[in-house]
Amino acid sequence: MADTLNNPEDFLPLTPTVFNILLALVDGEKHGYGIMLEVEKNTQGQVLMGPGTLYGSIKRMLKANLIEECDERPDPQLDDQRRRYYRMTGLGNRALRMEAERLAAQVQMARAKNLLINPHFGLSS
Amino acid sequence: MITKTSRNPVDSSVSIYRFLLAAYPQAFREEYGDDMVQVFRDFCIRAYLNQGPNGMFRLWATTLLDLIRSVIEEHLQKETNMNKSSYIRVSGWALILGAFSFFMFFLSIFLEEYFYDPGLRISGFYQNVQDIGIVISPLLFGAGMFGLRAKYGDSSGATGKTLLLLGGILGPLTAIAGLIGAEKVENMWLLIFWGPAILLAFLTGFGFVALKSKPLPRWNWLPILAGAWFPINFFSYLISPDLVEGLTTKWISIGALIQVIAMLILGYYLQARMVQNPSPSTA
Repeated sequence: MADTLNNPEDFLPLTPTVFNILLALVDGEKHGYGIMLEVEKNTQGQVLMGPGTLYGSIKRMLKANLIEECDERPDPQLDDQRRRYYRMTGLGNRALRMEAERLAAQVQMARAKNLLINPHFGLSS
Repeated sequence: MITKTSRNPVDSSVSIYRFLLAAYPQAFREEYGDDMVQVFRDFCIRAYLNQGPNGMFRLWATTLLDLIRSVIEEHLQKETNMNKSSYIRVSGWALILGAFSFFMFFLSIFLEEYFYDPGLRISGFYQNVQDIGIVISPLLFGAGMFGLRAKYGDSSGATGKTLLLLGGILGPLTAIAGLIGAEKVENMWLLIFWGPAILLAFLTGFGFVALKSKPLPRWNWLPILAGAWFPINFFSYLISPDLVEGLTTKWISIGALIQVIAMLILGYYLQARMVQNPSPSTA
């Protein structure tokens, strides 16, 4: 039985938590603490998730096949071998890409309506 | 590196956090409890080294909010999964019972045909079995259609889900309408037969979708076998009664038997223990 959805569109829109976890895994596999640090950095501290939210999301994302646990453990001299590492799957990558495009289209629309006053995002009069 | 004097508040916090993890469902705690403690410890060390007691205080404030929210979420998730799982199992039994009542319906038709004896008033008995079978089976099939949708809907896509939903609603409603209006409106009793025909036609439609998306663990042609025979016969009869009446009893019996067996297997699939399909939108 297919326990997962195979079409990335079925996952859209992604919740901010899922989107940020996937975004954190774009550069490669990470453990839970690494994901949280990356999310904090990527969002300039605007998205702060605790361990409960993180691992609740990881549990559901694993079952949905958006991420997977890495079999290999890091070099014990470089990191704690007890940590579990996660990486994005192909499905997760496609879902993230589609969500990013969806959000970009929304930003484009906001820009067209002159709603963006921050010069980094485009300008308005 | 954290010093011995600064280790105490971190260790104390970790011990308290580990204790609070008892609020999570056991399965979740066993799977992720150690990882959560380790992450919390990392954050404690960072907060204490960078901001001292104030940092610890802020960390606890956000962690407690996260804990309350995620504990509720995990318990709700567990409850939802359990309810869904239970419903799917019950719907599997409904499909099995529906298949039996459908079988009894056909059996009574043939028995009535072969053993009709007005002197023994036996036709009334067969008629009652037929009436009960044809009315009850679409209701039970309807429950089965919703169970199929709950278990295989996500992996069969939007079309498969919609077909199961329409069949599960329209089939039983049509049969009930026929039952209610049978004595009041002429020919309305026909709707009693339209009900299962509509429902099984939608099941057949789902079967064609399943051939492509393969949501079942095996034998994805089962929904077609479980659905096609009755609607084909029924709608053929409406178009050309002579065509169906010309068929031999043997062929009709074989068709009905295959359909019933396929339904029984589908029902068995549904009531068998399952793994839940999570929705990341709740993550």
